[in-house]
Amino acid sequence: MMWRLGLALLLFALPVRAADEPVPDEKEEPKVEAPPPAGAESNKDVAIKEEEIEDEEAGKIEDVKEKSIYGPIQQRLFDQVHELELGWAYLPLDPYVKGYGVQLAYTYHFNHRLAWEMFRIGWSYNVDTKLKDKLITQASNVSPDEFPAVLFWGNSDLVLKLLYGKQTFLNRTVIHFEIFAVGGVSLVFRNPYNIFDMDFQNPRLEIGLNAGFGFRIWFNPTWSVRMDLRDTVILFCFNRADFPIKNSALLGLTLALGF
Amino acid sequence: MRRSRRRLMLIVPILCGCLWAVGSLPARAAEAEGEVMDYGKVYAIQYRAYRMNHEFSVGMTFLPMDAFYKFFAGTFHYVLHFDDLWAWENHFSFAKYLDVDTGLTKELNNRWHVSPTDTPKIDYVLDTNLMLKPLYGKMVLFDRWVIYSESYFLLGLGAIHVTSAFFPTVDVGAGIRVFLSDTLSLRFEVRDYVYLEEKGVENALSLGVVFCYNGFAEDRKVVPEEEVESTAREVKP
Repeated sequence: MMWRLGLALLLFALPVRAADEPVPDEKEEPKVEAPPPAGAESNKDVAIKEEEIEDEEAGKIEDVKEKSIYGPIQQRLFDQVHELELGWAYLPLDPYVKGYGVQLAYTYHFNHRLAWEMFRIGWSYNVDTKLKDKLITQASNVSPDEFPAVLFWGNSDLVLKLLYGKQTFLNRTVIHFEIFAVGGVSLVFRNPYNIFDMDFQNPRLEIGLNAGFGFRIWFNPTWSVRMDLRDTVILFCFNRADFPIKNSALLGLTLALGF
Repeated sequence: MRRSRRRLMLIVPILCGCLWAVGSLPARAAEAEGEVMDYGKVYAIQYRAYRMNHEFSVGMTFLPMDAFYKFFAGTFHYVLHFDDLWAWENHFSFAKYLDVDTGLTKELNNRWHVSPTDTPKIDYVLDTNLMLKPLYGKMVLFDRWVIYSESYFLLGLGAIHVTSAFFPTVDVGAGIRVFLSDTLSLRFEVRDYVYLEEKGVENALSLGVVFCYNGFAEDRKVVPEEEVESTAREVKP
Protein backbone atom coordinates (compact mmCIF):
# COMPACT_ATOMS: atom_id res chain seq x y z
CA MET A 1 0.00 0.00 0.00
CA MET A 2 2.79 2.35 0.98
CA TRP A 3 4.78 1.72 -2.16
CA ARG A 4 1.75 2.58 -4.27
CA LEU A 5 1.34 5.85 -2.45
CA GLY A 6 5.06 6.58 -2.95
CA LEU A 7 4.83 5.86 -6.66
CA ALA A 8 1.81 8.17 -7.01
CA LEU A 9 3.66 10.95 -5.23
CA LEU A 10 6.68 10.46 -7.49
CA LEU A 11 4.55 10.66 -10.64
CA PHE A 12 2.83 13.71 -9.27
CA ALA A 13 6.13 15.38 -8.46
CA LEU A 14 7.69 14.86 -11.89
CA PRO A 15 5.56 17.40 -13.83
CA VAL A 16 6.08 19.96 -11.10
CA ARG A 17 9.78 19.53 -11.32
CA ALA A 18 9.63 19.80 -15.13
CA ALA A 19 7.59 22.97 -14.82
CA ASP A 20 10.19 24.48 -12.54
CA GLU A 21 12.97 23.97 -15.01
CA PRO A 22 13.44 26.43 -17.92
CA VAL A 23 11.75 25.29 -21.09
CA PRO A 24 14.37 23.92 -23.45
CA ASP A 25 14.62 24.96 -27.04
CA GLU A 26 12.51 22.62 -29.14
CA LYS A 27 15.30 22.22 -31.72
CA GLU A 28 17.80 21.16 -29.23
CA GLU A 29 17.91 17.70 -27.90
CA PRO A 30 17.32 17.77 -24.21
CA LYS A 31 20.54 16.98 -22.41
CA VAL A 32 20.32 14.23 -19.96
CA GLU A 33 22.85 14.53 -17.21
CA ALA A 34 23.14 12.48 -14.11
CA PRO A 35 22.35 14.75 -11.20
CA PRO A 36 25.39 15.39 -9.06
CA PRO A 37 25.23 13.72 -5.73
CA ALA A 38 23.91 15.91 -3.00
CA GLY A 39 26.61 17.90 -1.26
CA ALA A 40 29.31 17.00 -3.78
CA GLU A 41 30.58 20.55 -3.95
CA SER A 42 30.81 20.89 -0.21
CA ASN A 43 32.65 17.58 0.06
CA LYS A 44 35.19 18.83 -2.43
CA ASP A 45 35.66 22.01 -0.42
CA VAL A 46 36.13 20.00 2.74
CA ALA A 47 38.67 17.78 1.00
CA ILE A 48 40.64 20.83 -0.18
CA LYS A 49 40.55 22.33 3.29
CA GLU A 50 41.72 19.06 4.81
CA GLU A 51 44.60 18.97 2.34
CA GLU A 52 45.51 22.53 3.29
CA ILE A 53 45.42 21.64 6.98
CA GLU A 54 47.55 18.58 6.34
CA ASP A 55 50.06 20.72 4.46
CA GLU A 56 50.20 23.16 7.35
CA GLU A 57 50.68 20.34 9.84
CA ALA A 58 53.37 18.84 7.65
CA GLY A 59 55.14 22.19 7.71
CA LYS A 60 54.91 22.28 11.47
CA ILE A 61 56.23 18.76 11.74
CA GLU A 62 59.19 19.69 9.60
CA ASP A 63 59.99 22.31 12.21
CA VAL A 64 60.72 19.46 14.57
CA LYS A 65 64.01 18.56 13.02
CA GLU A 66 64.31 15.10 14.43
CA LYS A 67 61.66 12.72 13.26
CA SER A 68 60.43 10.04 15.58
CA ILE A 69 59.83 6.39 14.82
CA TYR A 70 56.39 6.95 16.32
CA GLY A 71 55.47 9.52 13.68
CA PRO A 72 55.00 13.19 14.36
CA ILE A 73 55.67 14.28 17.90
CA GLN A 74 53.33 16.92 19.23
CA GLN A 75 54.78 20.38 19.59
CA ARG A 76 55.69 21.38 23.13
CA LEU A 77 52.93 23.41 24.64
CA PHE A 78 55.14 25.05 27.26
CA ASP A 79 58.57 26.31 26.46
CA GLN A 80 60.71 29.23 27.48
CA VAL A 81 63.81 31.20 26.58
CA HIS A 82 64.59 33.02 29.82
CA GLU A 83 63.91 31.54 33.18
CA LEU A 84 64.15 33.14 36.58
CA GLU A 85 63.84 31.06 39.73
CA LEU A 86 63.37 31.71 43.38
CA GLY A 87 62.93 29.09 46.04
CA TRP A 88 64.08 27.00 48.94
CA ALA A 89 67.06 24.74 49.36
CA TYR A 90 67.88 22.01 51.83
CA LEU A 91 71.41 20.74 52.39
CA PRO A 92 71.05 17.48 54.32
CA LEU A 93 74.35 15.64 54.04
CA ASP A 94 76.66 17.44 56.44
CA PRO A 95 76.77 15.37 59.64
CA TYR A 96 77.33 18.45 61.79
CA VAL A 97 74.79 20.89 60.38
CA LYS A 98 71.65 20.84 58.26
CA GLY A 99 71.26 23.77 55.91
CA TYR A 100 67.98 25.52 55.14
CA GLY A 101 68.37 28.12 52.46
CA VAL A 102 67.02 30.24 49.69
CA GLN A 103 68.27 30.30 46.13
CA LEU A 104 67.97 32.42 43.02
CA ALA A 105 68.80 31.31 39.48
CA TYR A 106 68.70 32.47 35.91
CA THR A 107 68.69 30.06 32.96
CA TYR A 108 68.92 30.75 29.26
CA HIS A 109 67.26 28.09 27.13
CA PHE A 110 68.91 27.55 23.75
CA ASN A 111 66.34 25.07 22.48
CA HIS A 112 64.19 22.15 23.60
CA ARG A 113 67.17 20.12 24.65
CA LEU A 114 69.85 22.41 25.97
CA ALA A 115 69.97 25.31 28.36
CA TRP A 116 72.59 27.16 30.30
CA GLU A 117 71.92 27.88 33.93
CA MET A 118 74.10 30.97 34.01
CA PHE A 119 74.00 31.30 37.75
CA ARG A 120 72.40 29.76 40.77
CA ILE A 121 73.24 31.54 43.95
CA GLY A 122 72.09 30.57 47.37
CA TRP A 123 72.40 31.21 51.03
CA SER A 124 71.99 28.65 53.76
CA TYR A 125 71.03 29.06 57.37
CA ASN A 126 72.73 26.21 59.18
CA VAL A 127 71.27 24.41 62.15
CA ASP A 128 73.57 22.32 64.34
CA THR A 129 72.88 18.60 64.62
CA LYS A 130 72.83 16.67 67.87
CA LEU A 131 76.22 15.25 67.01
CA LYS A 132 77.83 18.69 66.83
CA ASP A 133 76.13 19.81 70.03
CA LYS A 134 77.35 16.71 71.83
CA LEU A 135 80.88 17.13 70.55
CA ILE A 136 81.09 20.75 71.63
CA THR A 137 79.51 20.25 75.02
CA GLN A 138 81.04 16.90 75.97
CA ALA A 139 84.50 16.96 74.42
CA SER A 140 86.80 19.56 75.83
CA ASN A 141 89.13 19.79 72.86
CA VAL A 142 86.46 20.53 70.25
CA SER A 143 86.00 24.08 69.04
CA PRO A 144 83.02 25.37 67.02
CA ASP A 145 85.54 26.81 64.56
CA GLU A 146 86.24 23.31 63.31
CA PHE A 147 82.93 22.79 61.54
CA PRO A 148 82.85 24.82 58.35
CA ALA A 149 79.50 24.48 56.62
CA VAL A 150 78.16 25.77 53.31
CA LEU A 151 76.97 29.32 53.75
CA PHE A 152 76.82 30.59 50.18
CA TRP A 153 77.07 28.83 46.86
CA GLY A 154 77.10 29.76 43.22
CA ASN A 155 76.73 27.32 40.35
CA SER A 156 76.92 27.58 36.61
CA ASP A 157 75.56 24.53 34.83
CA LEU A 158 74.57 23.10 31.52
CA VAL A 159 71.03 21.76 31.51
CA LEU A 160 70.12 18.79 29.34
CA LYS A 161 66.37 18.56 29.00
CA LEU A 162 65.88 14.87 28.49
CA LEU A 163 62.18 14.30 28.77
CA TYR A 164 59.08 16.34 28.14
CA GLY A 165 55.68 14.86 28.70
CA LYS A 166 52.15 15.15 29.89
CA GLN A 167 50.14 13.14 32.33
CA THR A 168 46.45 13.09 33.05
CA PHE A 169 45.40 13.69 36.60
CA LEU A 170 42.47 11.36 37.34
CA ASN A 171 41.70 11.33 33.61
CA ARG A 172 40.50 14.93 33.90
CA THR A 173 43.31 17.43 33.88
CA VAL A 174 46.45 17.36 31.74
CA ILE A 175 49.70 18.23 33.51
CA HIS A 176 52.81 19.06 31.49
CA PHE A 177 56.21 18.26 32.93
CA GLU A 178 59.87 18.00 32.09
CA ILE A 179 62.79 15.97 33.45
CA PHE A 180 66.30 17.30 33.06
CA ALA A 181 69.89 16.67 34.07
CA VAL A 182 72.40 19.34 35.08
CA GLY A 183 76.14 19.49 35.41
CA GLY A 184 78.69 22.23 35.93
CA VAL A 185 81.00 24.06 38.28
CA SER A 186 80.35 25.38 41.77
CA LEU A 187 81.85 28.03 43.96
CA VAL A 188 81.21 27.39 47.62
CA PHE A 189 81.80 29.63 50.60
CA ARG A 190 81.99 27.65 53.82
CA ASN A 191 82.12 29.14 57.28
CA PRO A 192 81.72 27.66 60.77
CA TYR A 193 79.18 30.31 61.76
CA ASN A 194 75.98 31.62 60.29
CA ILE A 195 75.89 34.99 58.60
CA PHE A 196 74.00 36.57 61.54
CA ASP A 197 76.88 35.70 63.85
CA MET A 198 79.16 37.93 61.75
CA ASP A 199 82.18 35.78 62.45
CA PHE A 200 84.31 35.21 59.36
CA GLN A 201 87.60 34.27 61.02
CA ASN A 202 87.84 30.82 59.40
CA PRO A 203 86.21 31.03 56.00
CA ARG A 204 86.83 28.68 53.10
CA LEU A 205 86.33 29.69 49.48
CA GLU A 206 86.20 26.51 47.44
CA ILE A 207 85.55 25.25 43.97
CA GLY A 208 83.95 22.00 42.89
CA LEU A 209 81.88 20.15 40.35
CA ASN A 210 78.19 19.54 40.62
CA ALA A 211 75.73 17.25 38.87
CA GLY A 212 72.13 16.29 39.37
CA PHE A 213 68.70 16.09 37.91
CA GLY A 214 65.38 17.77 38.29
CA PHE A 215 61.72 17.77 37.54
CA ARG A 216 59.46 20.60 36.45
CA ILE A 217 55.67 20.91 36.40
CA TRP A 218 54.06 23.74 34.49
CA PHE A 219 51.11 25.68 35.87
CA ASN A 220 50.81 27.83 32.78
CA PRO A 221 53.20 29.11 30.07
CA THR A 222 54.72 31.59 32.50
CA TRP A 223 54.96 29.77 35.80
CA SER A 224 56.30 26.40 36.73
CA VAL A 225 57.60 24.67 39.83
CA ARG A 226 60.91 22.84 39.88
CA MET A 227 62.38 20.20 42.12
CA ASP A 228 66.12 19.73 41.95
CA LEU A 229 68.47 17.20 43.45
CA ARG A 230 72.14 17.85 42.94
CA ASP A 231 75.39 16.94 44.48
CA THR A 232 78.53 19.04 44.64
CA VAL A 233 81.97 17.56 45.12
CA ILE A 234 84.20 20.24 46.58
CA LEU A 235 87.66 19.84 45.11
CA PHE A 236 89.90 22.75 46.00
CA CYS A 237 90.06 25.50 48.59
CA PHE A 238 91.48 28.78 47.26
CA ASN A 239 92.38 30.51 50.50
CA ARG A 240 93.82 27.41 52.20
CA ALA A 241 95.27 25.80 49.06
CA ASP A 242 94.11 22.33 50.06
CA PHE A 243 91.96 19.61 48.51
CA PRO A 244 89.17 18.82 50.95
CA ILE A 245 87.12 16.48 48.66
CA LYS A 246 83.83 17.08 50.45
CA ASN A 247 80.37 16.17 49.34
CA SER A 248 77.41 18.51 49.57
CA ALA A 249 73.96 17.55 48.34
CA LEU A 250 71.18 20.02 47.72
CA LEU A 251 67.46 19.48 47.47
CA GLY A 252 65.70 22.42 45.88
CA LEU A 253 62.13 23.50 45.40
CA THR A 254 61.77 26.62 43.33
CA LEU A 255 59.17 28.66 41.58
CA ALA A 256 60.22 29.50 38.04
CA LEU A 257 59.14 32.41 35.89
CA GLY A 258 59.61 31.76 32.18
CA PHE A 259 59.47 34.39 29.47
CA MET B 1 66.85 36.51 67.76
CA ARG B 2 65.96 32.93 66.86
CA ARG B 3 62.29 33.78 66.84
CA SER B 4 62.85 36.60 64.38
CA ARG B 5 64.77 34.22 62.12
CA ARG B 6 61.95 31.69 62.24
CA ARG B 7 59.51 34.45 61.40
CA LEU B 8 61.71 35.35 58.47
CA MET B 9 61.61 31.74 57.28
CA LEU B 10 57.81 31.91 57.41
CA ILE B 11 57.53 35.28 55.72
CA VAL B 12 59.67 34.25 52.73
CA PRO B 13 57.23 31.58 51.49
CA ILE B 14 54.27 33.90 51.97
CA LEU B 15 56.04 36.58 49.94
CA CYS B 16 56.78 34.03 47.22
CA GLY B 17 53.11 33.08 47.13
CA CYS B 18 52.11 36.71 46.73
CA LEU B 19 54.69 37.14 43.97
CA TRP B 20 53.24 34.18 42.13
CA ALA B 21 49.70 35.49 42.46
CA VAL B 22 50.69 38.91 41.18
CA GLY B 23 52.80 37.44 38.41
CA SER B 24 49.99 35.31 37.09
CA LEU B 25 47.79 38.36 36.55
CA PRO B 26 49.38 39.48 33.26
CA ALA B 27 49.10 35.95 31.89
CA ARG B 28 45.41 35.90 32.72
CA ALA B 29 44.94 39.30 31.12
CA ALA B 30 46.69 38.07 28.01
CA GLU B 31 44.39 35.10 27.99
CA ALA B 32 41.41 37.38 28.02
CA GLU B 33 42.80 39.24 25.02
CA GLY B 34 43.40 35.95 23.22
CA GLU B 35 47.11 36.61 22.83
CA VAL B 36 48.84 33.77 24.53
CA MET B 37 46.67 30.97 25.71
CA ASP B 38 46.63 28.27 23.15
CA TYR B 39 46.42 25.74 25.94
CA GLY B 40 42.82 26.56 26.75
CA LYS B 41 41.47 24.13 24.21
CA VAL B 42 39.38 21.10 24.90
CA TYR B 43 41.34 17.88 25.02
CA ALA B 44 40.30 14.28 24.81
CA ILE B 45 42.15 11.90 27.08
CA GLN B 46 43.67 8.98 25.25
CA TYR B 47 43.02 5.53 26.63
CA ARG B 48 45.80 3.87 28.64
CA ALA B 49 48.19 1.85 26.55
CA TYR B 50 49.47 -0.15 29.52
CA ARG B 51 47.66 -1.46 32.55
CA MET B 52 49.06 -3.30 35.54
CA ASN B 53 47.64 -6.41 37.19
CA HIS B 54 49.81 -8.55 39.49
CA GLU B 55 53.17 -6.87 39.84
CA PHE B 56 56.26 -8.75 41.00
CA SER B 57 59.34 -6.62 41.32
CA VAL B 58 62.88 -6.44 42.58
CA GLY B 59 64.98 -3.37 43.06
CA MET B 60 67.77 -1.51 44.73
CA THR B 61 67.47 1.43 47.09
CA PHE B 62 69.91 3.87 48.57
CA LEU B 63 69.46 5.42 52.02
CA PRO B 64 71.72 8.48 52.14
CA MET B 65 70.66 10.32 55.28
CA ASP B 66 72.53 8.52 58.02
CA ALA B 67 75.70 10.33 59.06
CA PHE B 68 77.71 7.22 59.85
CA TYR B 69 76.57 4.79 57.18
CA LYS B 70 75.10 4.97 53.72
CA PHE B 71 72.88 1.99 53.17
CA PHE B 72 72.10 0.09 50.03
CA ALA B 73 69.23 -2.34 50.10
CA GLY B 74 67.77 -5.02 47.92
CA THR B 75 63.99 -4.69 47.66
CA PHE B 76 61.21 -7.10 46.82
CA HIS B 77 57.68 -6.03 46.06
CA TYR B 78 54.34 -7.56 45.26
CA VAL B 79 51.69 -5.12 44.13
CA LEU B 80 48.09 -6.04 43.50
CA HIS B 81 46.57 -3.46 41.16
CA PHE B 82 42.84 -3.23 41.83
CA ASP B 83 42.25 -0.81 38.96
CA ASP B 84 43.93 2.08 37.19
CA LEU B 85 43.81 4.23 40.31
CA TRP B 86 44.34 2.01 43.36
CA ALA B 87 46.80 -0.70 44.25
CA TRP B 88 48.11 -2.46 47.32
CA GLU B 89 51.82 -2.98 47.75
CA ASN B 90 53.72 -5.36 50.01
CA HIS B 91 57.37 -4.51 50.30
CA PHE B 92 60.45 -5.99 51.89
CA SER B 93 63.76 -4.18 51.93
CA PHE B 94 66.95 -5.86 53.05
CA ALA B 95 69.87 -3.61 53.95
CA LYS B 96 71.93 -5.75 56.30
CA TYR B 97 75.56 -6.21 55.16
CA LEU B 98 75.03 -3.61 52.41
CA ASP B 99 76.09 -0.54 54.37
CA VAL B 100 79.01 1.70 53.51
CA ASP B 101 80.94 3.45 56.27
CA THR B 102 81.13 7.19 55.64
CA GLY B 103 84.36 7.50 57.63
CA LEU B 104 82.81 9.75 60.23
CA THR B 105 83.66 7.39 63.10
CA LYS B 106 87.29 7.41 62.02
CA GLU B 107 87.27 11.19 61.62
CA LEU B 108 85.86 11.68 65.13
CA ASN B 109 88.47 9.38 66.52
CA ASN B 110 91.38 10.91 64.62
CA ARG B 111 90.50 14.55 65.20
CA TRP B 112 89.10 14.58 68.71
CA HIS B 113 89.72 11.08 70.07
CA VAL B 114 86.03 10.51 70.38
CA SER B 115 84.42 7.13 69.77
CA PRO B 116 80.71 7.17 69.14
CA THR B 117 78.99 4.28 70.83
CA ASP B 118 75.52 4.59 69.47
CA THR B 119 75.50 4.17 65.70
CA PRO B 120 72.49 2.00 64.89
CA LYS B 121 72.25 0.26 61.54
CA ILE B 122 69.13 -0.46 59.55
CA ASP B 123 68.84 -4.17 58.82
CA TYR B 124 65.56 -4.58 57.03
CA VAL B 125 62.14 -3.03 56.55
CA LEU B 126 58.84 -4.76 56.04
CA ASP B 127 55.86 -2.63 55.08
CA THR B 128 52.51 -2.64 53.37
CA ASN B 129 51.29 0.36 51.40
CA LEU B 130 48.31 1.78 49.69
CA MET B 131 49.30 2.95 46.23
CA LEU B 132 47.43 5.78 44.55
CA LYS B 133 48.08 6.26 40.84
CA PRO B 134 46.35 9.46 39.82
CA LEU B 135 48.69 10.39 36.98
CA TYR B 136 49.22 8.56 33.72
CA GLY B 137 50.76 9.92 30.58
CA LYS B 138 53.47 9.86 28.04
CA MET B 139 56.66 11.73 27.55
CA VAL B 140 59.06 12.20 24.72
CA LEU B 141 62.78 11.54 25.04
CA PHE B 142 64.85 13.99 22.96
CA ASP B 143 61.79 14.72 20.77
CA ARG B 144 62.23 11.25 19.30
CA TRP B 145 61.06 8.36 21.49
CA VAL B 146 57.70 8.17 23.18
CA ILE B 147 57.71 6.71 26.69
CA TYR B 148 54.54 5.89 28.64
CA SER B 149 54.65 6.65 32.32
CA GLU B 150 52.61 6.66 35.48
CA SER B 151 53.13 8.56 38.71
CA TYR B 152 52.09 7.18 42.04
CA PHE B 153 52.01 7.95 45.73
CA LEU B 154 52.46 5.58 48.64
CA LEU B 155 51.22 5.58 52.19
CA GLY B 156 51.79 2.66 54.47
CA LEU B 157 52.65 1.01 57.75
CA GLY B 158 55.35 -1.42 58.65
CA ALA B 159 58.20 -2.43 60.87
CA ILE B 160 61.85 -1.52 60.65
CA HIS B 161 64.58 -3.63 62.18
CA VAL B 162 67.40 -1.48 63.50
CA THR B 163 70.44 -3.29 64.95
CA SER B 164 68.61 -5.62 67.31
CA ALA B 165 65.01 -4.52 67.61
CA PHE B 166 61.90 -3.88 65.57
CA PHE B 167 60.26 -0.48 65.57
CA PRO B 168 56.91 0.51 64.08
CA THR B 169 57.15 2.76 61.08
CA VAL B 170 54.95 4.91 58.89
CA ASP B 171 56.09 5.60 55.38
CA VAL B 172 55.17 7.94 52.58
CA GLY B 173 56.53 7.91 49.07
CA ALA B 174 56.17 8.94 45.49
CA GLY B 175 57.47 7.59 42.24
CA ILE B 176 57.23 7.35 38.53
CA ARG B 177 56.79 4.17 36.53
CA VAL B 178 58.18 3.95 33.01
CA PHE B 179 56.57 1.27 30.87
CA LEU B 180 58.96 -0.77 28.75
CA SER B 181 56.35 -3.20 27.43
CA ASP B 182 53.04 -4.78 28.45
CA THR B 183 54.80 -6.84 31.08
CA LEU B 184 57.96 -4.94 31.98
CA SER B 185 58.35 -1.57 33.61
CA LEU B 186 60.82 0.43 35.69
CA ARG B 187 59.97 2.42 38.78
CA PHE B 188 61.95 5.33 40.19
CA GLU B 189 60.79 6.22 43.65
CA VAL B 190 61.52 8.02 46.87
CA ARG B 191 60.22 6.91 50.27
CA ASP B 192 60.58 8.25 53.73
CA TYR B 193 60.23 6.02 56.78
CA VAL B 194 59.41 7.69 60.06
CA TYR B 195 59.91 5.39 63.01
CA LEU B 196 59.83 5.67 66.75
CA GLU B 197 63.10 4.55 68.26
CA GLU B 198 64.29 4.43 71.85
CA LYS B 199 65.94 7.85 71.44
CA GLY B 200 62.96 9.41 69.75
CA VAL B 201 61.54 9.88 66.28
CA GLU B 202 63.94 9.03 63.46
CA ASN B 203 63.53 9.02 59.75
CA ALA B 204 65.12 7.21 56.85
CA LEU B 205 64.86 8.48 53.31
CA SER B 206 65.34 6.00 50.49
CA LEU B 207 65.83 6.47 46.76
CA GLY B 208 65.04 3.42 44.69
CA VAL B 209 65.03 1.86 41.26
CA VAL B 210 62.70 -1.10 40.83
CA PHE B 211 62.44 -3.55 37.97
CA CYS B 212 58.86 -4.79 37.60
CA TYR B 213 57.16 -7.70 35.94
CA ASN B 214 53.44 -7.40 35.27
CA GLY B 215 51.97 -10.84 35.81
CA PHE B 216 48.74 -11.86 34.08
CA ALA B 217 48.87 -8.70 32.02
CA GLU B 218 46.63 -10.21 29.35
CA ASP B 219 43.74 -10.29 31.84
CA ARG B 220 43.63 -6.53 31.76
CA LYS B 221 43.72 -5.94 28.06
CA VAL B 222 43.55 -2.47 26.64
CA VAL B 223 40.05 -1.55 25.51
CA PRO B 224 39.70 -1.59 21.70
CA GLU B 225 39.74 1.65 19.79
CA GLU B 226 35.98 1.83 19.32
CA GLU B 227 35.61 2.12 23.05
CA VAL B 228 38.29 4.75 23.24
CA GLU B 229 36.06 7.28 21.56
CA SER B 230 33.18 6.48 23.81
CA THR B 231 35.31 6.87 26.92
CA ALA B 232 36.94 10.13 25.82
CA ARG B 233 35.70 13.12 27.66
CA GLU B 234 36.22 16.82 27.59
CA VAL B 235 38.79 18.07 30.02
CA LYS B 236 40.63 21.18 30.93
CA PRO B 237 44.34 21.16 30.15
